[in-house]
Amino acid sequence: MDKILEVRNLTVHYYLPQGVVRALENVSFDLYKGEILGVAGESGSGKSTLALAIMRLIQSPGKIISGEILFRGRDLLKLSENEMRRIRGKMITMIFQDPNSYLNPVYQVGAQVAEVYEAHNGGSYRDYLSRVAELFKIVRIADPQRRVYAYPHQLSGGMKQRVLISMSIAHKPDLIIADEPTSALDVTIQAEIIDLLNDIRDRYGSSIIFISHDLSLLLEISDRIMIMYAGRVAEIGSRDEIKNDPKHPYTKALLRSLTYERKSKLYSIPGSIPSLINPPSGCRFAPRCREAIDICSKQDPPKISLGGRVVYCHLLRGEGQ
Amino acid sequence: MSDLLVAVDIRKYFPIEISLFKKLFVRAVDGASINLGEREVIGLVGESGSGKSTLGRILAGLIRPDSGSVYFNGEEIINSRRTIPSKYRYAIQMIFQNPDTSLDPRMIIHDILADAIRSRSKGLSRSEVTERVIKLIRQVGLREDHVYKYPHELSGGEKQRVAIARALSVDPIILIADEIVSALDVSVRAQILNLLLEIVENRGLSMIFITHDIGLVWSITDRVAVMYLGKIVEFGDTEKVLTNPMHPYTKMLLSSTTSILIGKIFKDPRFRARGEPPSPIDPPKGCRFSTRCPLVDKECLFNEPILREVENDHFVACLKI
Repeated sequence: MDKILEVRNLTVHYYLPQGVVRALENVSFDLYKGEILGVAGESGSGKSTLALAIMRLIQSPGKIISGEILFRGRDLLKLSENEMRRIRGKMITMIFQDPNSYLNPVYQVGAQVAEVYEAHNGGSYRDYLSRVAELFKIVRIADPQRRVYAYPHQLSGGMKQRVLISMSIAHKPDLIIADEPTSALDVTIQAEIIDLLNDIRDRYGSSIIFISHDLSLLLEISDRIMIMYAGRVAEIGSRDEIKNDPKHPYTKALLRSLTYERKSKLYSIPGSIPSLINPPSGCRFAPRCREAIDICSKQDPPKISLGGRVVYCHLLRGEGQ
Repeated sequence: MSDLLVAVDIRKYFPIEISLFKKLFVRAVDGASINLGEREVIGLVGESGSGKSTLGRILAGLIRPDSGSVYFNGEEIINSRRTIPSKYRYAIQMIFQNPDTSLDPRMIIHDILADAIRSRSKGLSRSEVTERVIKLIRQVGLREDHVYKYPHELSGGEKQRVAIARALSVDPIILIADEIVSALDVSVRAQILNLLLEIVENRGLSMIFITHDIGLVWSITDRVAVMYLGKIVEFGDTEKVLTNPMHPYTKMLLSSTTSILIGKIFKDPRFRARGEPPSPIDPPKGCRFSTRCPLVDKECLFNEPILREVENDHFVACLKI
């Protein structure tokens, strides 16, 4: 299978008055064509920073310190802003959690979606309204011809998210980054949005990076899953591997905390997420890890490759390479 | 189990002015009945707009219903003419989803709790009040020095602990918890819920737990009521409702959830979500779920189903059962 995206040793820091926030450190992963990669992590795990870095939207006080983001073989970090602008919104697009923040309340939604064509092809937004109606049909907005003229407040949350999705697929992108696209929606609407993203992948062959704090949701939709903790990758594996045979202690703990048993206490991982200004030395999960050994808090965990999967953990030193 | 709280045929319509001469009503709660036993935890689930929060607020005496009555220990305490009389105010306490809007940002935690304590126990000396504040703050797992902080100095989880402490400060008998952990990370969420359940258990309280999370319903509730567009469509023993749901909406809800539940929870792809809930301003005639129901036929469009007992402790409002 072709790789559409290769991220190598990506490191992003934010320079705050309180100190340097090590939001992302040495993150590496591959994304294949037509694949849905789930990225799971709690707040502060760096998952949203990762999305912004790929889009090259990290702004001051944030800075990409090092690494490569190879998109179809070209390093995005070496492109000029002009070249990047031709990729962003066209070949790589993004869907966000809260559609309200990304739709202008005083413009009709059709005009806002048409802007995506206007920006890359020129002309007036009016030339594109019929194409927008077609997009609305693809994202299953009922009565698309009329909804083009609707204002955001006339649409439900689920509808608004469909509008944003239609924006993201206008140019049949190679890569869609969806950052918590269903977290603000009801489960029934969530299920429909997920079906829709699946259809879009099949229709355009787009790859999707689906970012969520909800690992159980990712287990339903992803081909592969990357688990992040405190700015680093903990584990990458296929959906079935993560679900049935998690290797990293954090993955195991996360799965356990998402499992509900009848009339029994909820499991919570002891301790709390570390500060990224003063992260713990060695493995960042070590202070909360039940299986931690001496070396864990002294040395960064090694990268262990087991077949197609990757685990960063001292405990697996004997296995794989 | 004797009933502590009984609500009969509660209705609440919120007026919205369309123009000077035209007024429409949002039928938030449209004929809902519920009963809560001693030491019982009931789950109230449904999509946004189903009326679950409005029903919770009515039961807590925060808003007056348009019709219907609520009985506490057999005595009518709420109807269209009055909300809870002051001598019973303490008995039913509500905890809200967002502590940022439910805790006064200008008051330190001590004063927030002290005000609540004084409202129930008049004539306490200043030191007696402070003593109680500190006892409460310890009960919810915070330290003494937390009481001299302002809400903004606390994390989301800590603020929610304060909100729980405030509800407990008047020694209530019933808690109404409205989506209290939806905004929290998984690990914090489990800690808060375990704490709340421990308190409910130790103090012998009853609780109505409003949520959209089926996983939580499964792990903590005795019975569950499923709401759709202002009506309760299914109500009964949690185990029965989740393993053998009878209402097609409950089936849709269960089939759309991604939570990992241990047990024989109903799941059937034929009931996967379709369509969005209609507006509560103009709900469908006949059965309100008819616009999304896979089992719909002609009679559903004309006749409104009523909630009836189909097996012991299992009520369903569906014409097809």
